[in-house]
Amino acid sequence: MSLPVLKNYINGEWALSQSKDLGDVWYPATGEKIATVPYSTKNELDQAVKAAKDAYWEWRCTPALSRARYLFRLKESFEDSFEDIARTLSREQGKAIDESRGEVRRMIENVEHATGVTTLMTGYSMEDIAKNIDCTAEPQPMGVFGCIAPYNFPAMVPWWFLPYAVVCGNTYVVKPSEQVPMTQTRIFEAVDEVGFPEGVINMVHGSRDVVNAMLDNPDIEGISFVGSTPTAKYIYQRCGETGKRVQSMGGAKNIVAIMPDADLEKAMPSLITSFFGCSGQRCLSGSILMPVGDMADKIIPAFKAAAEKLIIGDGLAETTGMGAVISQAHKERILGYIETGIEENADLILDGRDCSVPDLPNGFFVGPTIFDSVTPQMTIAKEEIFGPVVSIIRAKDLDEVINVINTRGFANAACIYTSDGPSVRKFKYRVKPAMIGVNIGIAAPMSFFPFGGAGDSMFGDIKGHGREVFQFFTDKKVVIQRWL
Amino acid sequence: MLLNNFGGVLSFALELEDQSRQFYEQIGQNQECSDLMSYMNQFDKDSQKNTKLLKLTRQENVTEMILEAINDFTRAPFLLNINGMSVSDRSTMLSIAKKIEETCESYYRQAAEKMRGLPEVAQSLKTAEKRRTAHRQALNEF
Repeated sequence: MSLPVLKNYINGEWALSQSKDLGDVWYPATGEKIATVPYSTKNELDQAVKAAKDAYWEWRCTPALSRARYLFRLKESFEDSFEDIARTLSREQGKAIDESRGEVRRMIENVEHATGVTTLMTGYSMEDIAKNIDCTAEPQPMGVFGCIAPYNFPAMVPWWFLPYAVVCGNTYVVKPSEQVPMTQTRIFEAVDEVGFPEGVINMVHGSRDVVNAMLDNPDIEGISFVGSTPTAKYIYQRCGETGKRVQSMGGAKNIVAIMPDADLEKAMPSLITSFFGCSGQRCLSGSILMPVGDMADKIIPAFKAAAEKLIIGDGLAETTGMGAVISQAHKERILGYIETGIEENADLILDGRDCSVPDLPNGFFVGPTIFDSVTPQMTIAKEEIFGPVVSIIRAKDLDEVINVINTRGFANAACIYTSDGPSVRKFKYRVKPAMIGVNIGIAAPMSFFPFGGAGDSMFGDIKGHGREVFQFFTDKKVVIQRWL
Repeated sequence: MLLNNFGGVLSFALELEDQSRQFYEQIGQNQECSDLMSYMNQFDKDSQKNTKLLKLTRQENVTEMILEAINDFTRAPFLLNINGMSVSDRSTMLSIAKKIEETCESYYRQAAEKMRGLPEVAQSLKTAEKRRTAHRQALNEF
């Protein structure tokens, strides 16, 4: 049976790519190919940008509340497709179905938040900045924006940006990850039902060539990117060279501190979710567990026991707690890091290398893996593994935790479990990462707060969603007036 | 089979609603049970309301922050085992209906307890339970 070939969505129509360069889309739980994705050409990307540019002026002149009404209809369309989108996501990405539902929910919440454009996009004014002279700062849309999306959150991430850009009066081009293109394709079927004016929202599948074509295209005003740090840095530099706005989010190596006074029983479920949810392929996943003082001897056996209980399997099964990783290549990369940890003399107390799942012998599974006695200098403590591999670094006190956190390049998120207020204050006051969890293992800001890290985890000034993102998608025109 | 997470608990509830609705359709078509027709219509409406509520709850009350495992909860005690069952005898039908209502009521009560950390979810389950309690009480009159 031939596999479905995914189409681009350009100027309000589905279009087969002319590219002969095709990639495979996999079902990570079974190791089967399930679709073919085109690596579209520069010409096709340029067509999408032209469609977006041509649509811009009329869309920009559409009243803000009318633009918001498209988003209300879009929300309804997404709600109607909710379960189907979530199932498509679990199938091609591997994550557990509840995680997919959570991701689709977050996607929709961004659409909901963006409908507040009539209060969130407003400018400001002042009378008499000089005698009889008034001044206004009026936010205006800018033109075409684009998103280059990662594989770990294929539904949600483009929608951290797109609804805000569009509701502000811009037009948009999305490039989904070539590893998980089916989810965004399904989402665009829901978009298509809403009846946006042609060219306002476009999607082009592809790989590196499409990325470079987006960075080179002079008609794209700004780029939002989420992915690895080296690529984030590349995107940031290239956008600087071509004069584009950019918000470029990179990798992470998040530390979770457990203070001696933490309520271990209450903390454990969220710790397991933090480290092993999405098979560790989250930029907010816990990666390093730092028990402080005598907490180490209490938490390590309990944490290991809870990890061993995780049910690993097909993300589509309701009982699955942890699904497969994205690809065979990524599985091998993770296994390589586990080998490195052993070579560097970390103490492997839970080994996920030989993880087998009944009836799914070809799935890309890695079991929960825990290293104890890790030092901050070891490779597994420094590099982003992006898998279900936990490094435990024992700390004598909170100062040592803060020091380890602040000597990493990555500074995405950091979490602390404690019942002590002053420890929390000290932690959040002093650590470099920009998203902080207190008795929360995944410090994920919701759509109405900004999302983004610091240091090597974020390049650019304005983060994803929140109120600030309206600034990214608008430019303030300052009008100074005097009536003679 | 385990009910070890948010989606599993709500998806099983939807299965219960679906199965019981199919059984009540059978009763509704049985000439011997014509006196139960108005009850069956009401049960069907309530079940549709429950289904809508539970689907919305599954869609709207899930975030990464709450994807934490549920312990010591399984499907086994709540399996209805009525799929494809064809019963024509009135008293057997009534006794199965009572069993369905008791099972669903008990499931919703226990599920709400398991979900007490998520008050909105627990509230939806309690609402579904309340409808099932009313059904059970109505059936007890026969």
